[in-house]
Amino acid sequence: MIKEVMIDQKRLALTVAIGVALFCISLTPALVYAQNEAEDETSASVIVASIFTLEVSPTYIDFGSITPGEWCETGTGSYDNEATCVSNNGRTWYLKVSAQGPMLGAQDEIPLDSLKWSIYNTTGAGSVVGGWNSFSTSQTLSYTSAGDDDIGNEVDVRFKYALQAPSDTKSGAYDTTIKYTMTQSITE
Amino acid sequence: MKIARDRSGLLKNFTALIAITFLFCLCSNICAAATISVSRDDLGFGNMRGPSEPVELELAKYGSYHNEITCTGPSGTTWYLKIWLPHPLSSGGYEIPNSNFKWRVTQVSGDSSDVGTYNEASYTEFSNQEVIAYTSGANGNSGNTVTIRFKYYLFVPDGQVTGFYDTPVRYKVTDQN
Repeated sequence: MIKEVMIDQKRLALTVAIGVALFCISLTPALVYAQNEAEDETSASVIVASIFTLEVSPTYIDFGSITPGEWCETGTGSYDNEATCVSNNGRTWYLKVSAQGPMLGAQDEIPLDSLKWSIYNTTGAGSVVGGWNSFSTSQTLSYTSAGDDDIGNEVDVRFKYALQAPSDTKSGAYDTTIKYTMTQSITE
Repeated sequence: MKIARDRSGLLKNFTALIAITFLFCLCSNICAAATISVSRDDLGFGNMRGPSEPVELELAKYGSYHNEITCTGPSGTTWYLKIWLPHPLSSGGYEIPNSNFKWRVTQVSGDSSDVGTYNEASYTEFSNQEVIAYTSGANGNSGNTVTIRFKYYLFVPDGQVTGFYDTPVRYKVTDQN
């Protein structure tokens, strides 16, 4: 009889353990049920296109009639033309200027170091190269963007020009082509 | 001997009680759990804000809607479909503000009398907080499946930095408003 009671005690312990385990397991779905929610998702995307534009206006600079050896500005009082730049690339960009070659006339030429550019002002947040600078056939840095210039804001860089032809320059009409370059590389 | 028999009977009853409790809870869970399924239509707006691309776009691939959310709420109670973004459309360190990205419920399945509540008239700006897009009616409260159709709108502001912007769009069925 004693043995039988002992066996029942073991059964009791085992059954209680199983019962507790089952009870705990049964609580799990009940807790999940209590939340009563389900979630799913999809994805949204857009490609914002790149904008990198440069426009120059006006495209013609006229010094009129000058006297050789004398410093001559176009005489507009403020600026002669402006380069309008827009970039949304989020990176620094550079505005550079160059000339195709010397100002050529029918009988003579005016060397490029006689033709100068200067930045009158800018609407941008970047930095300008100050003072009067001689043109060159290689691209010369004139403006470096910063801040909002790089995230789509329109930037006007306003130029004025001067010419001091050598005193022995022959009479005649002279011209050259000025080139403006907007680039994200400072070395190009 | 008599004591041992009584204990044995008690144990059997206890075991039976636990087993019934387990089966009941499991069954109630299977019967009443909320479910949700989003159709496999990504919200791809493509190229925008370029010289020949739009600055604003409505996304409605199927005419009146773009994707649909199939939901079953917890039976016997009002439930809600919520929508939100974990973060704005972003690319690197740049973001398109949530105020430019909007959603709108255009259709809900079921009879008009018990279809539930939603704002069909206008777009709502996305938020990083959960926002209720739909509140169930009698049809959904009875445990029936409800399909909710959405369309979307995006405006890319002037001066937005170029790049691929993306974000998850999350939907949740819940009985908590």
